[in-house]
Amino acid sequence: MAHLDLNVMASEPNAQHQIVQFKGEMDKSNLEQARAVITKFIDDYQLPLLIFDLTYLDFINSEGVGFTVSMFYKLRKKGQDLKIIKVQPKVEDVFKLIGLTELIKCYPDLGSALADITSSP
Amino acid sequence: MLLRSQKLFYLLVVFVLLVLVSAYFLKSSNFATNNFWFGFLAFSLVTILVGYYLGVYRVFGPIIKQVEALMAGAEYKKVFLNRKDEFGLLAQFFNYVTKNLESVSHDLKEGNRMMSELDLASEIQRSILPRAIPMVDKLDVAARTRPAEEVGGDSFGFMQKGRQTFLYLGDVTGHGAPAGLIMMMVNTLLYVYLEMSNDTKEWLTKTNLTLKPRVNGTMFMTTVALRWDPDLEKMFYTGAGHEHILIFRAYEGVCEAIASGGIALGMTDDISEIAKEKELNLKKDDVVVLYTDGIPEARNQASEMFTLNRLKDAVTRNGKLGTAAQVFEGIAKDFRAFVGEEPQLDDITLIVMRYTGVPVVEVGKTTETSWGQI
Repeated sequence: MAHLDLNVMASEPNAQHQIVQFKGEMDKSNLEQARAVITKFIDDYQLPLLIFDLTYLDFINSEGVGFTVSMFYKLRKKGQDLKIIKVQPKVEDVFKLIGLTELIKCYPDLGSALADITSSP
Repeated sequence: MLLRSQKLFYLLVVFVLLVLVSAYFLKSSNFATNNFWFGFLAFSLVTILVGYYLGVYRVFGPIIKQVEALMAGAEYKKVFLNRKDEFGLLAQFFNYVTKNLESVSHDLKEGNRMMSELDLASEIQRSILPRAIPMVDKLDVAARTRPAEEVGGDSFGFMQKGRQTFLYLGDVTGHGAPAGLIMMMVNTLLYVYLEMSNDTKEWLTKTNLTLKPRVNGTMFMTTVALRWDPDLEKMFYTGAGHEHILIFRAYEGVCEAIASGGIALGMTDDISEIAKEKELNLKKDDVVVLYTDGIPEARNQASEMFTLNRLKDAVTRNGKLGTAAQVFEGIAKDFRAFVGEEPQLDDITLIVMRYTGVPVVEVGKTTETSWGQI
């Protein structure tokens, strides 16, 4: 089974976002576990922006992309936004291939993600 | 806590001791004649037998009878023993186990029923996938697909519209029954909207518009649609988040990978701004290869993926073999050699099209699409 760690980073007081860091590989073998954890997290999430930090995500397949899209829509339904930062080239190739980057904006770093206010729901 | 059988055992021990002690004292008295000893022995044995019958046989018998029936595969009944000792416990255990057996048997029957329904779904799905590809004017085509499970998420179709051939290759996220249902929906929509579309962009955009509200956010279908105009001898394509289009440039002997672009069907409501129809510039003998991600993501025993690069190498190695079927077989052989005996985890589809420029003369001739053993 591919290994995937999810780490919810502590945010600064009064911050309007929180960061979830993905580490490892995301595919069918660990997707259900990740889905259970993140879905619960997003259900309880109150801030206007959630950021997925993919610095350490080495692999994702189409099912992983499907999962990301479903989380995006889940947040949008609640009037919140999802942004992705620090995507590795291999993962970015998959995102571009499937067209995810047309739907969810990817940024090289946190600063540029926070500075861009055009993608709000 | 003393169990009933233990109590009975101790009672019998006490009884035997009493008999022995009595016999010891009676031995010295005068009235202990032979007849007396015979009666004494008979009384002792009968008492032990009656004790065994009442304490063990009569209670244990009904349980053993049902256990024997169960073991012999005959009809058995529940055992009702209104006791709080180990026999009552045993009867309860028997009832519990047989109830679970009935439940397992029900699950097995249910499993069999679901398997036959899956077989039926698989059959329906196979029936909507082209079993054979019609000959396409000025193109030589070989296409095969193999699902990882009974029902797959890969699909493709070759459809005629006037002189033009429209074809698509799609791959629904994941595999199995949910992917199969989406795949069948998209396949139907594509057939319906072809009549109302003039190009591949319009075709996919209309299909997506109907599809999106009917699928949840997790499921989508990456698709690439091609339009072949045999009069102009031009091929056009629109990508919807699918894998690369590979072109073996026959003259140069190289394999080119073109990102198909776009966004997967079912991911967003309107793809009209994103989808674009572009031309694939082909020269005679060039080979176009379409595939689903089950091929580059297939792993060998060392858990290494086949990857796009290996697929490109396979196309380069085999691109000049001759007919589309020969090129297909060459690529399939390389793929098979890489994955070895590893089980197939995802659906795989490979379409090979060689631009021959030779008009079709054998009308009605078709090629098979079922991918046999890899």
